[in-house]
Amino acid sequence: MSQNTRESLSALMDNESDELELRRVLKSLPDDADAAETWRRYHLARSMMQRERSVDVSVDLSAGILARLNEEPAPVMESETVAAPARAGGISFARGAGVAAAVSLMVITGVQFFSGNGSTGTAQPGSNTVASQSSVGAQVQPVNLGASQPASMMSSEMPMFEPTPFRINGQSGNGGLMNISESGFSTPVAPQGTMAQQATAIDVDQLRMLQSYLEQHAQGAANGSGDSWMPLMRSSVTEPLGQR
Amino acid sequence: MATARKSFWGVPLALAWGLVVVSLAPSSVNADAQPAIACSAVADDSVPDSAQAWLARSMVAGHCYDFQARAVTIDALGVRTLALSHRIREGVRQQVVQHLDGPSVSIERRSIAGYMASFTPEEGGELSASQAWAEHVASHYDISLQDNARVAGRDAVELRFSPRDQQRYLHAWWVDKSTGLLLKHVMSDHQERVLETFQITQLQSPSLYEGNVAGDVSTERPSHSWQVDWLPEGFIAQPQEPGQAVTNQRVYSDGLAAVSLFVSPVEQPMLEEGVHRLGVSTAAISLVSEGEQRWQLVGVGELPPDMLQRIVQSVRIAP
Repeated sequence: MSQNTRESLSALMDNESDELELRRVLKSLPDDADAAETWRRYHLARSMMQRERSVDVSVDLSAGILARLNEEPAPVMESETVAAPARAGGISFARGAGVAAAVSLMVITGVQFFSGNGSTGTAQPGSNTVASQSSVGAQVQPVNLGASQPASMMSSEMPMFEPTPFRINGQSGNGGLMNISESGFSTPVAPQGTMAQQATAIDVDQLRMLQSYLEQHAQGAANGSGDSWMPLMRSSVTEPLGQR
Repeated sequence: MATARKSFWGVPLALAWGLVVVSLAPSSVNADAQPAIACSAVADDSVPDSAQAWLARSMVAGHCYDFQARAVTIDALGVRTLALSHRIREGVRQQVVQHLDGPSVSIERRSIAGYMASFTPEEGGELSASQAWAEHVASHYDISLQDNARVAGRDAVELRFSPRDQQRYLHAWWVDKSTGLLLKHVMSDHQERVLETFQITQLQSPSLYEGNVAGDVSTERPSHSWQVDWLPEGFIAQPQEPGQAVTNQRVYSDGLAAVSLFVSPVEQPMLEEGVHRLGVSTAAISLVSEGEQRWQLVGVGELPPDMLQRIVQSVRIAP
């Protein structure tokens, strides 16, 4: 294990590492055979330093816990899960780390969740979805576009839309709103893949703000230029980091 | 007595005529008002004979046809399949874009049917909004027309827009001959590298709206405490969209490309200066101080990055 990783582990233990460091550590740990041992030793050392009387240095509980976890039918994600090493047959740390990373990605980037009444949970400033959500008594009409086919449709024409009813939030009247609604599960709406490859690492918060500006621009561009479709498709260009 | 009676009736009659005259020419009353468009006229009009005529037809068709379609967009991030829907109901134009790849995301936009980008000159004129727009594009891009194209199994005309300077991107449109709807749009940089493609792969049951759209949509041009000193030639400020709250955003467009400028005073700047790519679009951020107030200038648009930066850096605060 490199000195760097050791330092990061130590900082992680003390809750002093930032997001970038956490991700880096989690990525490098599966390759490291003695990571678990190091982790255990650091914790022991800390307990010693903090004069915890009840620590038993002779027993390594992690093996027993791992065996018990293996017997369980399904893995359970707990916030204080002991860092299990990446041994074959166990809950691999890589997978656990992957789940942890995925969760943090979603939270950071202000994912929009679809709940029963179509509320969106985004926190982007100046976003139209927030504005529309806060309007009391907004018209919410379930639209099933898949069903709006003319009776004289040829048999070769297939329905264009998925027959998934999704709620359309909006104000009545002529408000030029742009809403992003989802049908189904919550998805990460993350900064774009090309952004992640930039040499100058840009803050995720800044990216979110820029994304919000991009959406407002798309609304203005759809209004103010000749092609009113392209801006709508651009503003929705969001790919989770690392997927491309 | 007789004279008095005549003059009594004469006055309201003259007033009535005056009113009729005024309502017949709404565009001369308010330069930003847009007269009603009778969608049925789209079908009756003759086949356009010039690039500009095709442009104007295409703009109106976009507001007058209900349709559903399957499309793809292709850019640096890859290919995406989309389902599109366009409906006009009670004067409201509803556009829906549904992502068929990856997580299910839908975008919906509602706007006033018939309200178009504004390129009518201040003193009014004879042209409709779509004709004014087409003329504006033609005066800043060289347009070539090719008649025998085919897209998604439909006959189309191909229009290529080459800018006269290197300050903006190249565009190409393919317009459906029978409806005038836009079937394909390709944007490239000045080295003719394709930046993004939008293409309809299947157009289903386009049906003409049987009424009029828009009609005397008056817009506001709110005053701002800042000015932009430099823009590529042909970029004109667009009026505030009706029904939207006034924000710190100002949109400029040359008909094909658009730039939004967001200028606001800030206590604590949340963004760092610089230029960033957001897919095909670019964002440029600049921080300036005017007296004791810090201002954050953000420009977002589909322009070469150096042009966008130049625009943002030319913003002058003038309270």
